[in-house]
Amino acid sequence: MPAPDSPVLTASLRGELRGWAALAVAALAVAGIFALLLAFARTPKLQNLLPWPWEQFFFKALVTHVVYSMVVWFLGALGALTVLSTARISGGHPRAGSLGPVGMWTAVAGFALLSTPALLNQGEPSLNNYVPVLVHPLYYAGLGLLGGGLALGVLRLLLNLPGAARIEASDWGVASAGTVFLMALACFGLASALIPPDTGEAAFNERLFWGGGHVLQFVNTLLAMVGWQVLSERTLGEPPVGPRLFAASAAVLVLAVLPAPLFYAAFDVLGREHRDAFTQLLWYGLSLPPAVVLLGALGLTARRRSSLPWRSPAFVGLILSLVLFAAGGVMGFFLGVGDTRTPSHYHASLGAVNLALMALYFSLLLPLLGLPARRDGPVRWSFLLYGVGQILFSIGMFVAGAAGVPRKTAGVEQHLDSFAKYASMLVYGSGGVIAVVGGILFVWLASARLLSRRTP
Amino acid sequence: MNGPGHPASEGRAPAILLVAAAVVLLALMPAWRWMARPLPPPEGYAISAEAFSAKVDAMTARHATGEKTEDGGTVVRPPPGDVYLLASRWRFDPALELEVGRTYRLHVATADVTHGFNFPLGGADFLLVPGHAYVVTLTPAHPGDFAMQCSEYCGQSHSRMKSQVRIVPSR
Repeated sequence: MPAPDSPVLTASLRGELRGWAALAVAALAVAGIFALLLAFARTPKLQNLLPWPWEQFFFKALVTHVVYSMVVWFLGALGALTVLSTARISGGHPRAGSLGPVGMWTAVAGFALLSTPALLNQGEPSLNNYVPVLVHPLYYAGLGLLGGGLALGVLRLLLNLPGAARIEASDWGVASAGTVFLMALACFGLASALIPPDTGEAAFNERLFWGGGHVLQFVNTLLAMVGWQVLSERTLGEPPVGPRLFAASAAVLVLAVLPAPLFYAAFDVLGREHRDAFTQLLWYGLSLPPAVVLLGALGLTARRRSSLPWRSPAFVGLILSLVLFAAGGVMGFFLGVGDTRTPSHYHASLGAVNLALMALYFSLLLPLLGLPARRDGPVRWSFLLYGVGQILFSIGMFVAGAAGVPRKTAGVEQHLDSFAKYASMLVYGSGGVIAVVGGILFVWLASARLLSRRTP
Repeated sequence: MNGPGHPASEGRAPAILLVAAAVVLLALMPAWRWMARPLPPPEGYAISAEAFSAKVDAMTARHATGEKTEDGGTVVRPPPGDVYLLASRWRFDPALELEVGRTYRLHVATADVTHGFNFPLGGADFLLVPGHAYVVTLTPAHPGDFAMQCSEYCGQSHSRMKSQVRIVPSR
């Protein structure tokens, strides 16, 4: 990744970087607004203030909240990192340069369309896995434009790889994430072509996003790995693993998803084998590379234990991201079928990706834009609150699941009839509140800098 | 790719080891075996939803215990042999009470959309596709309450689509 004072960002590339960085943070802001509207929809009296019937709006808001926080934010961050890597390997003058701005503005259009159906109280909500949807043409168009826009940026990066004089390890990581993202798009396309048109909406959306949704988890993992590599270099002066091992780790994740499109030829897209094959792909393909980088980072931290930069926000973000990812990995080996251990696993793992990206914002992206944080303290607090809150949230959820609390339930349906269930749900709830405060603080700080008039 | 201080051979061995380990892991993935030899489908047959519903209703009328479940479902204690269970958004009907040591052929089908049938006691986890009934044979060994649930997203209340089979001592 370029150093903060790197000269590789031309005005055009700087504009693209700022656009993607703002799109990603705006996704979190929109997700937060919809979370607030969700709370309104569940609160007596307040729910009547909504301009839409709250019973209908609740699930629409839930879908919109999830897609912005879990899909648009990650893909927006990948878009920003793609611009950086493109700038780096091309010396600021990429081949097929116009693909970048076209892609960014296409994604911005998709961003706007995604929230439109919910605000118009249109579309049936489908809470299917990975990419929940509102069944409405504008929503699908929004997803398509977002994905297509990012694909253009990724294609430009890949077009500039051949002949590059120097490719950093983290650039290999970003290029790998982009390649895996294109594979996910291929899976969405294949599913869309193969699912019979008379399939019911629930099954259609579940299977449309099942395969590609699994592949997107490889993208998220690569984003975390790139974050650890860069943050470690910047705070400890050394990456967790050498450049060759990092590139191999990233390549292994690309290798693992190569068979994904073949699953569509081998298995009935609506069948059980199709469903299980993608689950197996995560089990057998996703665990090893991040474990290597994570262990490298933990080993490096242990070796430097007497001189760790605890005042550095980036280091705090790095450590908390590593701890969360490790916790999520361990939880992943003890999943229950219908209890809260499953969401505890992915909340910890995706929380780790979130933290790595949040730390990258203040360590890399904003300084490159000439918009570094004014003070470290609030940034450090946002990482601390989010990270510690997310750890408590995930552990509470995991213990609650082990004690028998079913997932996706609330109130009396949770059957909190033992001390273990009650106490763990208390930890879960408290952790959630702390994490939300940290998240809001991050969005506030990052938005304030991105909206600042100051330019380098 | 190699920056200053990184000679060409540095890190080559761990990288090769990682790739080799990853290839071995991927080679072990059960999906490859399924490609060559797909999972055996559960025993099944074509039905009309109305005819199957009629069988469920008839069994329920004949063998209802008079009890109701918390969600208003009818509890049925059928004799050994063919037992009928209907999945629909978002429930399984009726609630079954079976006896230890007796053998049942549990016929299960969906009345509306595709559901998943996850029933560990019967070793079952398969999809319920409209227009087909599937058969699970089971001989309960121990008394207790055993969960079944939908394992394929089927709509907003999918995660609440669960039921329990009560296994009771033989009369």
